[in-house]
Amino acid sequence: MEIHKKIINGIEVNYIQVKKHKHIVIAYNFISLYNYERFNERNMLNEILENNMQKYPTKTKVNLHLDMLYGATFKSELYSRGNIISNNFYLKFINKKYLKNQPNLTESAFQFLNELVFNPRKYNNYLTQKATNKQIDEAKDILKTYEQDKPTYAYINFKRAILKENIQRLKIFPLEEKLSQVTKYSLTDTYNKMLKEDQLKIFVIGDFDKLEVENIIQRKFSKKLNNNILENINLNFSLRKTSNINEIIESDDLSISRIYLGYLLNIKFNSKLYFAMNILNIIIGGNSKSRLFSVIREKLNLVYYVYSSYNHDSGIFYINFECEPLDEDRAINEIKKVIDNIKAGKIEETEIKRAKEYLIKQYKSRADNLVGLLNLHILADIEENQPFDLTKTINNYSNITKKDLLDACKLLVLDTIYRYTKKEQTK
Amino acid sequence: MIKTKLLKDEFIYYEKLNNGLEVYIHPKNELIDNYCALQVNFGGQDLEYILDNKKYSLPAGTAHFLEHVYFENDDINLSDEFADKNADINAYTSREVTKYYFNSQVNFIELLRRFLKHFSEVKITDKTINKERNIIKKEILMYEDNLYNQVNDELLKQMYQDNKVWVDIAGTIDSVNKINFTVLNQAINHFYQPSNMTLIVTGAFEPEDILKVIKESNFNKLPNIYGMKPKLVFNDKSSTNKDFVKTNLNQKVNYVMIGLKIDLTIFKNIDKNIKRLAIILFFEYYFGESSKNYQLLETENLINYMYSTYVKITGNYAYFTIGSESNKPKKLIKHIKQMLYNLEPIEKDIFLAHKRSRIGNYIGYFENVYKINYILSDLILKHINIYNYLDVISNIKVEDVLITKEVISDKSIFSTCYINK
Repeated sequence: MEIHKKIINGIEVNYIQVKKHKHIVIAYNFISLYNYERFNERNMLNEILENNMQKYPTKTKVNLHLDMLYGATFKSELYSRGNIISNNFYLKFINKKYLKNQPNLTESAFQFLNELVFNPRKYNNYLTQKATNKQIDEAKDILKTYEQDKPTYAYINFKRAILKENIQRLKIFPLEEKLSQVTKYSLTDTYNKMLKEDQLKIFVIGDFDKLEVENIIQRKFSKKLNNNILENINLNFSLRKTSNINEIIESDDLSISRIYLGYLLNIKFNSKLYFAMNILNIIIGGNSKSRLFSVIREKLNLVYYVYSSYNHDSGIFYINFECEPLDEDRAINEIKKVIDNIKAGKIEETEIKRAKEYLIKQYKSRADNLVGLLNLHILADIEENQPFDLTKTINNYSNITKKDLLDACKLLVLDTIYRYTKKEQTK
Repeated sequence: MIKTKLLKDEFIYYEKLNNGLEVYIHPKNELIDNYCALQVNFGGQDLEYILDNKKYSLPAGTAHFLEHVYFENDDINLSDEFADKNADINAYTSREVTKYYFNSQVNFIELLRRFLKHFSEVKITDKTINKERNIIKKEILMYEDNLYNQVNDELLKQMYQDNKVWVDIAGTIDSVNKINFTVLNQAINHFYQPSNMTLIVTGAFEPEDILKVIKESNFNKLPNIYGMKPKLVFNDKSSTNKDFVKTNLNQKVNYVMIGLKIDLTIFKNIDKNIKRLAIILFFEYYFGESSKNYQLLETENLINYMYSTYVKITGNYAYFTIGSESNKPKKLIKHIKQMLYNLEPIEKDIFLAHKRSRIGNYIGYFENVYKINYILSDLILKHINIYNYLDVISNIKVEDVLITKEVISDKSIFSTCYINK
């Protein structure tokens, strides 16, 4: 694998050359500082740009064009970490060397992404009212779907409950409370700022011809963008906590109860505690060999599934399970016992070794997959301003000791219990 | 072993063991992961079948139940053993198959040996059966309050009286209570025969080494008692209720599904490889997200982002469904019916685009061992010739695809609509 970084017409272009994959992926990342007030707009931009191209003005025409490019796939996502937000646009297409007549898909891929990002339909210099209305309607539909889908509803309401003092970290689209502020003016303003004020980074990954790609970028980006270098990046933050356990019970017409136990953690990104917490998560409920799975499902048969998850960006460690309403209290108590047991230092060296190996295996697997590797590089670039380093990552996890894990354990103070339960079971 | 080229730099090795087990080995030495799947032709639909001229039945959920208990043998938990070697092992049951699979980056040959040993010597105990029954009952409850599943099941009930098409793969609380040692033993004897299973191995290894391990294992010694596969008993009758509407004020959204039964007899003179692709391309052309019909439905605000289509083709039955949330559910049903009755001619450029897309998608699978294993398992299950799949896509004609049009008639179209007002 070869990695190069080059500035072309003011744009940072990252080449990641790997030979063994069938695809090539191109990504445009527009990175800026996170603004809670414009979170909805940043999200909506991805969809608006995809569905309002001058050249392919409908979703049908976009899809048909991508079909013609041998099933090229377009994807956009909004990525946010700390005080950073990034609109990422990806095009993944088959390397021409695997196709019979070897069509030039690389040129077409850049052409498509440029059309999509830089040439949307506008009316009087604004993104259209029709496109705006469609996005607002869709956001309202999404809110209804969340409400209809019971597991999603429980997840969102749990996150809202635990982050009530830190709501800016919620980052779940759409933010209902901000939806009425979205207009064609706010969307156009967000779009213009994205083009004029964000830092654009381009990533190209796969077995491509570097000279050909460089030549295409030179031509396609001949008009210089205001490519600001981002400063004041901060991936850490301090969460406000309350001293009491926040207990919430919601009831509905359900077949099974959905329960969350949440913990708020102030942990510095890429610190020893950060790696320790990721390992601890695997030991507690990260896989089918975890404590929770072994005790709550396999030994006590209280649930079909139980797992834990740690997300540094929201600062939440949580445990989620579904159970019959009559088993709720027992399951919660047994989970508390598992956590207390671990906090008391009862962690086996074999468990630690297995959890580390599990995480390292996952990283190796991701780094062996084209899109996985690209995402690892994009994350490392945003988070550390350098390429992803697998060896360093492995060392970071390998060097964690039992003492580090116990230090992380001390931070586990239960903050929120959220129950989404059957109507007649409400207490 | 027979070595065959799949793509310019992809080869597959095949061997059928004396007891009937089919083995497919796909070396991928440039990747780090290894993946092995044992596919048993036994799924949620296998409730009534004929074997050796006798008719048998099983309670709903038997295949899924067996999948749960198969991991534990004499109190040995296979998941634990594999986790200790930094490997993941898991399984799932679909309507047609049960699949056991594991992946690892190290110790693959050793783990393959252990995997094969386990699945050739399973001993089921009542203790395991009772434990898993409790867990499965909770699994069944998890999906009961899912509106989208409810509408899908209701539609299929209208289209087919036979519960093999729609009964929950995990069964019902009642049927799971009926599953015991005798039932599971019957299922093992009838379905877990080597000639009714396929082993597909993908990863960084020499194919000869893999075949050697398989031949040395007890799997190679499993007897092929029946020498034939169980044959599903199937009833194609529909219910009399073709358009079903249910009102529930607690619902937050309206959800609509339209179903079309596909009469497979109209394809009897067509090569089975072409038949399947022709049906899929037909519905992709007329109702995929690149279609004019999709655009019309979207422009008129009759569908939203929950729009989806699905084509199911098995040896016994086939159907096509469209589903979406909708603010105008009745109008949506009316429009889709009209669209089905008034299909425009196929435009060659669009058809070419769809074919190209299929070619690209197929090639794209071959860069990841999980995806390779998935696509090979899927094609093998459906009896598709994997050796000339790209040629079939390249050569399929508009005329082949248009045969599917003949299945559209008033009696083959059904709809289900759950609304909140």
